[in-house]
Parts: sequence; structure tokens; C-alpha cells
Amino acid sequence: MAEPDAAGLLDELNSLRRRARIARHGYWLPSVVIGLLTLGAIPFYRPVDESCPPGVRSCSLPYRGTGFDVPGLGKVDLLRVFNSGNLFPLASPLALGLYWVLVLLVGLGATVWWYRWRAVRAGVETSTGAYVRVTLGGLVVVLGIALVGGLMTEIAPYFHFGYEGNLLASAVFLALPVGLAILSDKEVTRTRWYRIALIVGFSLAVLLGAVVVNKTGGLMLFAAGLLVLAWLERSPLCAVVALGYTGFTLLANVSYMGTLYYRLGWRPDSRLDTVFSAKDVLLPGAIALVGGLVALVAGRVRR
Amino acid sequence: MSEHPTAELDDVVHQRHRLGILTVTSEAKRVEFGYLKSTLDLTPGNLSRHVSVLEVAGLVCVEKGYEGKRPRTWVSITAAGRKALAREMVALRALLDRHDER
Repeated sequence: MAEPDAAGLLDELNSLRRRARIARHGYWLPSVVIGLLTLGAIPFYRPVDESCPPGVRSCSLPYRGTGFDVPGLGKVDLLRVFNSGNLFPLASPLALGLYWVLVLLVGLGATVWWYRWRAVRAGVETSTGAYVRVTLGGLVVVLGIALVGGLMTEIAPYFHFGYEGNLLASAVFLALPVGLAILSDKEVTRTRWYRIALIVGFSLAVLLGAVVVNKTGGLMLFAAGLLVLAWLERSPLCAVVALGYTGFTLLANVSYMGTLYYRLGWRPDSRLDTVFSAKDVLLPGAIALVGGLVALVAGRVRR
Repeated sequence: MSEHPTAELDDVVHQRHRLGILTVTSEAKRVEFGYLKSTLDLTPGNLSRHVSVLEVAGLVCVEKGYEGKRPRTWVSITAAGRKALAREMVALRALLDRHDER
């Protein structure tokens, strides 16, 4: 075979590869859905009414947690990663926690359905296996955190990593399931080493999560899903959306969003209490929504 | 004396349309027959023949089914197909590098 023929053939194959990749790009809808579902959490962040009944000078707020005592495990709170640690006490932490569980499952179902529907229309199918595994695996990690969290209440203060340490630990917590999910599509899953990595990764994620993750569990799971989607799609724009969503999620987990908004000049008055209470979800949701819409328009323009 | 890069080329894989089939299928979970036909600009008979050669060699899998009443044929690359494609790409790049060295 002549070398110039090889060059032409390689160019042709690279062109085919790019066309197939573009033809199967479908991330705009999952990104829009994740953005809308994230922003849809805002009403559930309504702070509890701190005013006392008329004629009463001082009163204590009724504690509305979602945990319960389990003998031998301490306080188990299945929803703590979704609703604990907020700036203001919430009017209904149970509703917020259930909302996040529901939308994670709805987002998963919608994404899988969408890619299958799109495959029939476009004739080329993107695998969603890794996306399904990271979302369902993430929910199992959340369950593990709830079970371990009660046991770790006594020792958690000794694992205070500091601001940067918490940020790094949160990033590691997110990277573990994403890395394992990406590998789950490869031949390596048949090896013993992958099975060991799965057990170690799950255990480490649960322990880290019990110490460093609070209130951003829903954002974390959506971020993991978007990162895996960016990998599956091999799309730079999808990667930008995923990294943006992840970045703000990590900042929210270390309670930096209030400082960020203050530095950006946003100082809301009391009429925006619910919106400010939901400050952690605003930027991630906006990035996913806008990124998805940009991808939709870019896809239409390209055609 | 080092072997010429063309010695690494596999006759089953090293055919323009079959390389095209492997390249497209390697980019997706599976690809529909109609998409391959239009992308590679092949007649149905021609495409079938090339897909059969690859299927017999264990480099692709073919699933036939229906979407409603419409028959559909899906082609997906196997692990062996990915390895064969990777080897072919390495051999082609080695050919180009050899040309560039002259």
C-alpha cells in the first residue's frame, strides 16, 4: 500500500469517526432536564417561619429532621445528604429529600428513554450503561452514607479537613463513582482487580461522603451523571457543562456559594429568602439548562 | 531488518469499506444498517457482503429485530473488532511515519 493512500485513508476514517460522533450526540436534552430538575428544587428550600405566635415573646423552633434512631447504628437519616447543613432551617426537609430522590430517578429514566428513542431515529446509539450505573451506584452510596453516618457522628469531628481539604475530599468522593462507571464499559470489568476496586471505591465513597457531603447529595449525583455523559459523548461542550456543574457543586458543598454571590454583588432582601436559601442549586442548574440549550441550537445550526 | 508496516495489515480488516464499518461502529454502542449504508455510500448488497465478512471473522455482531412493523438490523463492534481496528490504525500510521522519514 502506498503511503499517500494511507494518509487519504486515515483522513477518511477520521472524518467518518467525527460524523458518527456528531450523529449520536444527544446530550442537549439530558442537560436541559437536569438543569430544570435542579432549579425545580428551589421551592423546597423555603426556610421555616421563625416568627413566634402572636403574644409570645420567645419560642423555640420545632426541629424537623428526617432521621430516626436505629439500635446499634445511632441516628440514621436516609435523606441527610440531600437536606442537612443548609444555611436556614428548612420548612420541609422531608419534601426536599424526597424531591431529590424522585428527580434523580426521573432524570435517569428520561435520559435512558431519550437515548433509545434517538437511536431509532438517528440510526446510531450511544451506550447509557455507565450513566445508569453511576446514578444507581450513587444512590446505593447515599444509602451507605445514611447507615454509616450515625456511627460516624462521634468520630466525624476528628476528620475535619479544613476548607481546601473538604473541597479535595469532595472531589475525590465524586471522582470515585465516575471513574468506576467509566471503567464499567470496558473489558477490565472481567478482572479481579476491577471487582476489588469496586469494593474499595464504594467503601471509600461511603466513608468520605459520611464526613464531607452534606446538603449537596442531589447535585453530586447529577454532577456524576453529567461527567459520565461527557465521557460517553466525547463532546467538548458537554464536558464544559459537566465541569461547570461539578465545580459549583463542589463549592456549594463547602458552603462557599454565599460568599461567591456576595462577591458578585448579590445581596438579596427578605422577599428572596427562599431563592437565597436555594443558592446552592442556582448556578449548577443554570449551567446545565443554558448548556443544553446551546447544544440544541449548535446541533440545529450544524445540520 | 525491520518488517515493512504493510506486513501488519490484516486482509479482512484492510479494505476501505470494512475499515469504514469498523470505524463507525467503534464510535457507538450499535449502528443501524441504514445509517451505515448512507454514511459509507454503499448499496445494500455491497454493505451486507462486507458486514458478513466481518461477522464471520468475529469482528462485529449483527442483531435483527423490529421497531413496530419495520425491520431493523443493528451492527455492533466486538472486543476483537476493536483490537483489530486499533492494530490496523497503528499499521497505517507506521506507514505514514515511514513516508515522512524519507
